[in-house]
Amino acid sequence: MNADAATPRDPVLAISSRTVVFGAVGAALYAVLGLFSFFIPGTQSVAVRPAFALVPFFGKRFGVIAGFFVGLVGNAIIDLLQGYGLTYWNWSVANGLVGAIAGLIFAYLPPISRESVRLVVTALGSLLATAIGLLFVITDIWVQGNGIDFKTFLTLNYGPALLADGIAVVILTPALDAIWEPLSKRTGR
Amino acid sequence: MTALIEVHDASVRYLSTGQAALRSISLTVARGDLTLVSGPSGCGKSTLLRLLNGLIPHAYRAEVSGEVVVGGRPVAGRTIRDVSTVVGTMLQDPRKQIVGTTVAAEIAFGPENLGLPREEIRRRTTEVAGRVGITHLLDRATAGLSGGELQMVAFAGVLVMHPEIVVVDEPLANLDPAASLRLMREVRRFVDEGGAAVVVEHRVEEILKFEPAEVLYLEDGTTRYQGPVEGFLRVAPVGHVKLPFGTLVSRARELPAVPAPPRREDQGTTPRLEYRGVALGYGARTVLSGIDLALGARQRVAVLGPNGAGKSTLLRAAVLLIAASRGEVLVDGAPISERSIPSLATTFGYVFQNPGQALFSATVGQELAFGPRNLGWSPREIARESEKVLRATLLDGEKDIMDRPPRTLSFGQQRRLTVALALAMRPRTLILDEPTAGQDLHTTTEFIGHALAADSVESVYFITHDVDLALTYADRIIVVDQGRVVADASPAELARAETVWSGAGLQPTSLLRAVRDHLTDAGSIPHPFDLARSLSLLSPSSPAPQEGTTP
Amino acid sequence: MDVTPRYLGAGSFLSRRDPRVLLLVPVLYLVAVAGIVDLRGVLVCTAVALVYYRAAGIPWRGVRANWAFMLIFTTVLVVLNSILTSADTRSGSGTEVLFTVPVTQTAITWTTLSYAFTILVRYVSLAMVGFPVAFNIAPSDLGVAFARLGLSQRLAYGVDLTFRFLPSTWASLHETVDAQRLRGYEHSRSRNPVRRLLTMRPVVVPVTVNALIDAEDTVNAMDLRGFGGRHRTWMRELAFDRVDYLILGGFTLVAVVMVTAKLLGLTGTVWVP
Repeated sequence: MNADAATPRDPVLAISSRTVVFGAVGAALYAVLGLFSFFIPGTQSVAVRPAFALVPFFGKRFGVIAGFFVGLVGNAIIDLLQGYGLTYWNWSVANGLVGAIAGLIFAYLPPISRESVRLVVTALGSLLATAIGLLFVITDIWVQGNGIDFKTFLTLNYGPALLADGIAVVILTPALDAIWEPLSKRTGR
Repeated sequence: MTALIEVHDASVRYLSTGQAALRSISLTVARGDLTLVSGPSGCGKSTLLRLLNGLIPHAYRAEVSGEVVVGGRPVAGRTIRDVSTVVGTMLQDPRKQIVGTTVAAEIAFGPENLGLPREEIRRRTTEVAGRVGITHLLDRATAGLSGGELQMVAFAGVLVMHPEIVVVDEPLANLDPAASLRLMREVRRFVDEGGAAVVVEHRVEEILKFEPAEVLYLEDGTTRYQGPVEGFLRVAPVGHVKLPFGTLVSRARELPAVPAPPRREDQGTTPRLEYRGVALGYGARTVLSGIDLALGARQRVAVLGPNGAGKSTLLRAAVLLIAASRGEVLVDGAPISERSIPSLATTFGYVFQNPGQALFSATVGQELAFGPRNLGWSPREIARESEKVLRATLLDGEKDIMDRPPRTLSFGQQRRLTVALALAMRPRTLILDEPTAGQDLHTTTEFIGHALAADSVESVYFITHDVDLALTYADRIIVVDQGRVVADASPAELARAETVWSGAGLQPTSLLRAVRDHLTDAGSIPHPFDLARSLSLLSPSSPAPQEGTTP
Repeated sequence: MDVTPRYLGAGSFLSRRDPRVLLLVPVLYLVAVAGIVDLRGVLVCTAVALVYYRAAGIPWRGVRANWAFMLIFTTVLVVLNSILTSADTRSGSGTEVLFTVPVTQTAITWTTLSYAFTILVRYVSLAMVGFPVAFNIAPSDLGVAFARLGLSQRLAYGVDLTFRFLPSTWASLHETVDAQRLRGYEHSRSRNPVRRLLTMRPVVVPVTVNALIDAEDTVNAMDLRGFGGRHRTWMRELAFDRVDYLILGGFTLVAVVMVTAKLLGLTGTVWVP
């Protein structure tokens, strides 16, 4: 969590007031900005939600717990505001996992000083986190019984979601991260 | 008297930046003391507060030497939580301090964290709410409160922890004078009833009424003055802290010369911005109504009024961020409804209150190019204009300014950058929303000076709740209160309008009284320094009103 | 759009319950209806969900837009699912082909229809037990409810804090959009998703960075008021009463019965009339 390499890192799963506040700030941001989405032309089901890029960003910058919180609570609030209620609860958990996995991935990567490399690594790491986290939606098969098979899961749920969220993550997460980089050391914490 | 705070020869160096923020500071605050800490931005005031409330060394990584003893025990060996029961902290902006969704939840937050029994928390909440007069707000959502109410709620949330000392960071920075003074009266009462307070503020004039026992003046992290108020008024740097006008008169000889801002005569041309029977509001809520105003193309207009009076709403109508629900708004004689937001961008440059609200680029250069590029200007033109506006806002002296990330600039520089961003689109009128909020006097003077002097700009309209700022820099002042325009006059006329000063959340300042008492003509008034000089020449033997200078 | 939570069901039977009941019921209900393929089974559960939903007293006017949105989305999802999923993965008696979907050549049988309807009803009934979480829990009760369900005290407070940040984030978003519009920014209508995402930066970046910078102060404010201790008092006292136990018991029973039926293979085939 600290930008300074000279001090020992906080434990990956520690919950400090920073974790709580940044988690809450992130969830509120994701919930508000997440109300905006657009369809990829030519598809009717692939809705890109630009704010999804915040989830791996918070995971990377503020840790596993904050990342999980942002994805889970943020997505749950979007669903509540848009009127799905808790029907698609597994998507909220999947969102949370994306943030948590991004937190894990970047916690164990050494700091990268070259900006171009850091941008690429941020994009790839976030994409990987998205790909793994969204797999949780496979629980739909459990909910829907044997009616949804693995192929349907891939073509109807996972594939489009990965495409839509993947684009958002690859483009916006590194952009956010690059702007935050020079500011992250500023606070003196 | 027992000392509640004892700081001995303390120095602080932040580890993340390696920067030394304080050097050998000593401070003693006893029960019944109200200590004023003053100084320009970046002087180490915030660091001192963090040292007192335990954030340093417990939350910020810093190297601390010397000793800080609070309530008889060194801070270093305690937790922030433990220190928080002795030292209560009011942050500068109450909006960031509030964590509860309702007022009752907000007040209970601290005691809940201490694990106090519910009965005790209820008792304390009732007591504190009654004390600061917010009992009627207890069930309200914090999101719906006014700035003044929020500040009182935040203070209640601090008092409920039963601290022995409160430290207050710039109580006047974010609110209109009436609301801030309410808070300061509560702080004074807290001190009188056996507590103590450390107040950080550069607006010295307003704090003097509350009789600080001692003033600590910092510059670059070191003590420049420490002692009683009278001594401070004799040595305080006039350009950096806001002093009572009487002090300026008695120190008239030291006042620096101020270049007169260029005067532009309004020769009865078409008004730049005209309101005809306009009502403005959001949805069903009407904020302002019955507005008939014509603002000249070459005027400097201040819009003055308390928080939430509708000042911003009034001027946002000029750039179509809000449309009139009744009546008509005209720009250069033509109805604004025929214009688009981008086309208005070259007429009005609107500078928002919070500079960070629009900064998103990786470098200052890209940030400057964003607006003009949206207008379809060529890269050559953009480059030329960028250079020009950086010069106009004195940012060109900064090393590699074009490649700096905008958010790494200092707060004052970010404010100037936002003016540069507006100027880069070559507006003819500049609109500034609260140009001075949260800045010290020097930064304010510099900022507003640049905005007024920009030679491509014909007129400047600015929103403020700072009476002296309006008196000093405007040639016309419009006072907005409770949804109406309640006054529209030149500064000198306005100073004499008694009714305005009894209401409108405005407080007469010593400068205002001096204008009222000594200026007879009706136009705009000279810079306070010039006025002080001329008054001291008039009556060199009796150095004018002695506001607040406690015997 | 209003981003503050709407406490629509105030005063109703469900609003008087311990908020933990409202959080636990959807979980129990999910366990009950998960994996049931037989329409009749789902309909029985839905009847229970409907009674529960009626007890929430949520005024129809307040949520009809939500229901419309939810129904449209879910119907599209179910229709796509029926078309894409080949019918032969399911057994059942109604194999007579009613018609064939053009393009995908999916054969539609009574089985397909019954199954599609089962999925739709299941989603709708899940919404019925889920809506009270949104509209019947006072926003200030959410944190304490999670805390008393065993979530970390600090994270539970984070839930409260999220709701505290919603209105200010919304206001900040508006302010930024306004500021950028004055710089000639317009929302992109481009068909290229990459370009559209890139044009989001002038809005997403400042709103996020501002929120993060302000959050530093909030962290300080919380530390300075003793946040983070092991023990924390929650002003809201929560206690299950007899009715709460009855409701939880009832839903537990439904869950146990349905899971047993599933294990016995009673609900594993598509029902065809």
